[in-house]
Amino acid sequence: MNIEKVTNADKTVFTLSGRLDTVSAPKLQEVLIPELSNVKVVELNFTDLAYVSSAGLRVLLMGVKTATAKGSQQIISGVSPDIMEIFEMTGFADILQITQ
Amino acid sequence: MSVFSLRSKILCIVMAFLSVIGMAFVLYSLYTTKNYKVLRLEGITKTIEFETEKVNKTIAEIERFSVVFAIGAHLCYEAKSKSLGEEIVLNFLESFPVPIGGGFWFTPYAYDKKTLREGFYALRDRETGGVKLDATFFIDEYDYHSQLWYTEIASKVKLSNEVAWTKPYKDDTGSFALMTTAGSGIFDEKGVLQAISTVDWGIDDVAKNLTSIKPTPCSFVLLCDPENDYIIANTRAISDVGKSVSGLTFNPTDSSIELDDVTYIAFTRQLDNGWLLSVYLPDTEIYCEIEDRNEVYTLLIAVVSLIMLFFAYLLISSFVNKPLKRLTEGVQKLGSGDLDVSIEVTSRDEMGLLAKTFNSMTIQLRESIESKARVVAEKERIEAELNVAQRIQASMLPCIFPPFPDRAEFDLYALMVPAREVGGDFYDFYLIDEDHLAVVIADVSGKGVPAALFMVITKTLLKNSVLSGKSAGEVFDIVNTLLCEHNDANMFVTAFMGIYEISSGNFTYVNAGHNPPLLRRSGGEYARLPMKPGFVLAGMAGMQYKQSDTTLHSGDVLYMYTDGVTEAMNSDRQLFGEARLVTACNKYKGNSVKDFISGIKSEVDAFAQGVDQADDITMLILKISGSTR
Repeated sequence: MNIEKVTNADKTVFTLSGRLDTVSAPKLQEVLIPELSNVKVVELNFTDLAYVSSAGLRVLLMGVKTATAKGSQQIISGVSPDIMEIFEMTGFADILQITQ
Repeated sequence: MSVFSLRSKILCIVMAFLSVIGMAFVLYSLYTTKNYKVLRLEGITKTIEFETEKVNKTIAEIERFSVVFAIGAHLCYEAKSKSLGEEIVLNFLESFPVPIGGGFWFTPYAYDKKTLREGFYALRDRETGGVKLDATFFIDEYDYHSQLWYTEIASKVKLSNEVAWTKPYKDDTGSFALMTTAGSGIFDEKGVLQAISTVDWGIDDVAKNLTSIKPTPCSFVLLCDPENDYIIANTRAISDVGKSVSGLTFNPTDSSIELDDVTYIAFTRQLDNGWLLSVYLPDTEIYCEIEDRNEVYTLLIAVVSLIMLFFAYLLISSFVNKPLKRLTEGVQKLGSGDLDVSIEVTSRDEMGLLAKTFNSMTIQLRESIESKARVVAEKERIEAELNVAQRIQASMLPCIFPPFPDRAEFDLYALMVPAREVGGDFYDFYLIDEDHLAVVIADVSGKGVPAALFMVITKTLLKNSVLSGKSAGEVFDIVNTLLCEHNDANMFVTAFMGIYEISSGNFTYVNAGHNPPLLRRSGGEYARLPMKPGFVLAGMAGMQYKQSDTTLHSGDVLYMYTDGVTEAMNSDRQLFGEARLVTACNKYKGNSVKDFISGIKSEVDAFAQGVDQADDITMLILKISGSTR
């Protein structure tokens, strides 16, 4: 998985491509969690993401919890129907902030 | 072998150095030879000079003596005393030992008008060395005025006032020694010759001394009197002695001559009495001594070089080859697995250093291998413990099928294949009471020991809650809250649970983010069990889980699975997917529960084409038989 980072004032955008699974989830955790403490809004662009495993879901959950604690926002954009199905099936669709 | 070539290389280097030194020496000797040649020529010239100077001294003495005799003749004439004449010749001859005889001779009627011949002559006795008067020359029968020596000297002194030398001649008075005579004249006031003096000089010894000059084995000496055309000595051809100089096949004054195809270099010097001394050296011989010496030196250098090479060979053998051999043996031993090998260090050079390094390397290697062995042992211990953990985990899942052989209303079968030693998936089923059956399938996020521990907690909490008689939705609410309490690792569980009321066929179920099970109504196809979505367990505290319900009839089959099934991957990174799963389920729908599960598993395995299983694969099937009690 590749992570590209673009910081713009109070907003950071991470563009993810490939698979967010057991191997790549720690990489995202490493950059996402500290960033949620630094900026107001962190956007995760999932346009080029093919798959999210339960390990990936765990990082997203950690992100939601961190954002709540630090008063920042974690927004997920560009979610494909396949991934949206995973989010819906696992109930993550209810707790994640998902935009088009 | 390489060892040999190393030695050869070193030897070649040593040989190259020796060759360079040898060549330098040859160049140096060529340079010095040139100097030696100059010195050699100078040496020969000096020798000849020295020998001729000695003779010149004698010549000077004799000439002086002849003058003295001439003066004596004049005194004798003035005094008209014969006894004075006798005294003069005896005394002078006695005082000067070189001549063999000497005297003075008056010209006809010069002594007085009545005396035709008058003179005095003394002779040295060959045996005793004593001198005595010799009167035999003054007898009447002997007319000295007509003798050759007399006329020769008289005519010469008349021409010039210098001392005259006769042609060498053989003494015919008995000794046959080779002689020459020096003479001076005394003149009256009118310039008429009054008398001549003669000093007889035996030149055999002189000639012998001069001809003994022999710088090289084939050199020869020529002593001649060119003025009188007389060869005094020729060591090359003794028969030439006494012959005339002009009879020689070469000119004695030439600086180099050719005789019998041999070129001779001439060293020529004239003596004060006009004699010519020539020493002839074959040109091949002049420098042969030096050249011979050079040859000897070259040979010596070659021999010394060979000896040095031999010693170098021995030294290299002892300093390089033997330690190398020991090292090689050590390395071979080490290679064959003997880690206790140690090489004896005897030298302090690079070889010794190498041996020391080798020894410390083997020690380090030994230590490293020992520590590796410890690590491996530790790892094996952990693996063994994990295997134990896996067995414990497996034993926690119901694994005896059919689990309720006395219940004919339903049939159950399950399978859990962990991806690692211990997995995060589990299934469970138990009778809450005689009329209620609970089925659970769940997947803990992550794998390994943490997931397994989390799984154990979840499973226990679920079972405890269900057995307390709560509804499915209430159970999930409670368990979620409990799991959230101490979940610093942010783990979570997706789970599906259903409670089947056997008597009524009512099936209430709740889902916490898990894959929806597939339901097949009797005679139909597999399709998703419709349900309200719910969030994962342990994800967020205070979640409310809504339960759904349906009625299961005889022949209905509920198939529950974890994402390890749908997310099994092949080498093209494609996922097995729900669509393939539904197809596979329909393919095996007529089979028994056990064959159905193994059929699905074989489909998944066939799809994965040997790619390593990434996640636990767990399946649980519930089939309603319908025959109620």
